[in-house]
Amino acid sequence: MKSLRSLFTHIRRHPAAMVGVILLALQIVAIVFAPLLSTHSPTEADPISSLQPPSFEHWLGTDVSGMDIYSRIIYATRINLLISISAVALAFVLGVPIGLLIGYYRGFVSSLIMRLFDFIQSFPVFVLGMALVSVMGQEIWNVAIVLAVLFTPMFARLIRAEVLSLRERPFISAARCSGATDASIMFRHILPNALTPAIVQVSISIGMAILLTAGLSFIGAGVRMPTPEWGLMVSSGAQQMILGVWWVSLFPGLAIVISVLCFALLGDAAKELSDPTTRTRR
Amino acid sequence: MKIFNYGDVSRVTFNIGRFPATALSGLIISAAVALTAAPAAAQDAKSTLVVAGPRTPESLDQEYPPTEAVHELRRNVYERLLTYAPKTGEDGVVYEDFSKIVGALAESWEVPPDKTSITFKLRKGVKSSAGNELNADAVMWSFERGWNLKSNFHWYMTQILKITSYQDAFSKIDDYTVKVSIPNSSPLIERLWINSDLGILDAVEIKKHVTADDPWAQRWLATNSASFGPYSVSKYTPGQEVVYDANPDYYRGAPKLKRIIFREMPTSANRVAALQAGSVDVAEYLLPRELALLEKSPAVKVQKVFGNYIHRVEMNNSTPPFDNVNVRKALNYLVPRDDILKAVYFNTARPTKSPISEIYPGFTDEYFTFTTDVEKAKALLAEAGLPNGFKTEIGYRTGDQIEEEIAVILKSAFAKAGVDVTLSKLPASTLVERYSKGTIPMYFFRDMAIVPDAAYVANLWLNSASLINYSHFKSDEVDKLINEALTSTDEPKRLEGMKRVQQITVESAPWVFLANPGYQVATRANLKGYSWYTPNGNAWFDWSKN
Repeated sequence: MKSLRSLFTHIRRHPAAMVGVILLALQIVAIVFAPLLSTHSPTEADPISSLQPPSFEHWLGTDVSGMDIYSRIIYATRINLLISISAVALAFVLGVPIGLLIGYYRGFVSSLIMRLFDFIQSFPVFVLGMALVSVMGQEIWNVAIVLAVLFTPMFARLIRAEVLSLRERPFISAARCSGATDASIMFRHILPNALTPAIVQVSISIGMAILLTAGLSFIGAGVRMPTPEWGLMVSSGAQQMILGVWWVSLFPGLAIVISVLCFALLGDAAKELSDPTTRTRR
Repeated sequence: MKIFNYGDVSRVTFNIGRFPATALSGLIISAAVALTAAPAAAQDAKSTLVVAGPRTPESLDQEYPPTEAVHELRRNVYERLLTYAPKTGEDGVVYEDFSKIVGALAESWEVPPDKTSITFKLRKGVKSSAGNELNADAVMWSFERGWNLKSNFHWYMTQILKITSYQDAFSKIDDYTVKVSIPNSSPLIERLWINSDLGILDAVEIKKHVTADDPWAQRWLATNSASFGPYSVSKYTPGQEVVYDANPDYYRGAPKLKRIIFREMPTSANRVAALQAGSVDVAEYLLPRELALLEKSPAVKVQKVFGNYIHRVEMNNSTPPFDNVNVRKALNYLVPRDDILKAVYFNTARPTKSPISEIYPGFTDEYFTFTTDVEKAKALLAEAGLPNGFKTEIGYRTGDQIEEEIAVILKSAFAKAGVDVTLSKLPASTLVERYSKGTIPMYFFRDMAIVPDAAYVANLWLNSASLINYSHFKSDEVDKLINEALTSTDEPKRLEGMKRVQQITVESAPWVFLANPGYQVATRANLKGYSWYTPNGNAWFDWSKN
């Protein structure tokens, strides 16, 4: 309760964090009330009204197939955040215990897992993402799983680094001397102290995941047409830019910017909040 | 096969590039083109033409499977024995007169009334780009090479002319006379020799590059040209550019444009930008929307012809639910053709109303009755036992903007009768593999046949024995009529048969009939002499610059 109140205080005193929270709230509203907020079906083509500029009927214009861009952007929030948040959640759930185990037990298996992570991370994220999606098929859940695979090593490494330093601390030795089991040391003593950087990383990773999802869809390796998805929408408009049709790409592009900015600001706020030196310095 | 895209649709399609471009990359590319084009332009702006196309030819060998890029190359480099007389259309474009065949490398020819042989009398004094003279040995060597390589030439000879033995079929009468004898009559015995992949090779030049393990100089001809056509290739960098130089001794006179520089620019937006900037003279295969934009510019001219392409969605007629004719008809009743023609094609296309190209003799649209009628479609689906529709999948090529736009429209249109379509954007090779193996229920297919003969076209797409009848359409009557028409010399009877073939095909609806997209090319306003030939590639010999 007290920590919740300090959270509010913190947000109130930091305009950047405030903006982040407001943007997040906007996105949550878009996700929950998409059917009420949208003016048209997000996937129904209406060739007669293709490529119309923003107007009263179509607030942000229409794309080549005559689909309403505003309604698609609203619905796309669901798809983009669903993919990104579930990917990061999965990576967190997988990465944290793995990091804890390979940091605590250092042996052959741990080194093997680390080399595997090296292998995954040595590929450019995009190339690996494209390859994995094309093998697994262009489905929403596959994109999420692929992103989770890419992010898991990041969380595992963060936790492992923390564990490596924590396990040598006197309070761990003390716990061990008092007869605590390995499991109890790992989960009751080390994990709570090691978790902070991973939690900060969550918000930043969601922003990265949104960018990656959009990027994969832009190059045709993400979700399928006509699913409303920001990257796919930018991509479908890119060909028309030279013809002076700017609205097809611009608005979904702005949506990506806003969403990524939101999670970056929240990530910064989380970092400051979790760091005692910045939290107390006022 | 010949004619058309053979097994590799990727090379014959509107290949607008794998990745969408941004205006920025368009500017960068056009700037790059401007820089590199400058020296050539300075050399002789009036006799040099810079062309931007989606891709360079895959090979210079005319035995390579035909693709769009390859067809254009052959039109400019390889000269054939016969050709159609030119005729100027009402739009000022020079077309081929399909009713009048004239000599090209053959000055004259003889065909007996039963059409079982053809004797070519070669033109004298014709010289190749390398300066070698045309004679019967060059023609015989070209035939022999084609026969032994078992590709394009061999396919025409065995599948269309039904030749079984090289020795019995091809003979040199004297130094300027060659005779081809075929086992049965063929109505196509003259027309066939006009095809751009039956060029005559400069045997003297090519034989210099023959080696013990490469008796037909395939390695050399893959990257070099040697023929009697208006141009020869002086530089070939696959994926980048092809430079054509004029053959000053060409039999119809030296070309007015001395040098053609073809540049590969996979993204159509980049080709538009380059044309607008004036860094290229010609931009090929642009999107209808881009053409509509360019038409407004006084510095640019857009040439549009009916062409012979037919763009359709083929259904796999041998698997449920598409084995039921009512299902196939129902989908045809759901297509909003007028909307597609307007929104996607900007009225550069026409609705497909027959499996035969509308400009070919024998075409008829009188049996086409499909309108946009959702109630009728629902009734047909109910009759087929699918009153609530069904789920299916439609495949289209990565990077094909037109197909993606139509696919999205079709998805919405089909949904009105409960047909739920998943759109699968697939790399060209994957798509070809899936439809040739019959593992995708519906797929986009854009094709054309270069021989203006209804029976020839029907044989490619509708004969159940054809290797490219991927929709597995099968009608015993159609098969019988096609096979009769391929050997009969009774022209009225052939046309009657082909009329019936079109009736059966339209009534059985093996495809979702969409549009004949036509052929368009955008040029700078100072170019003239535009001509159109059935393989759709541009013939630079006819062009000139003001």
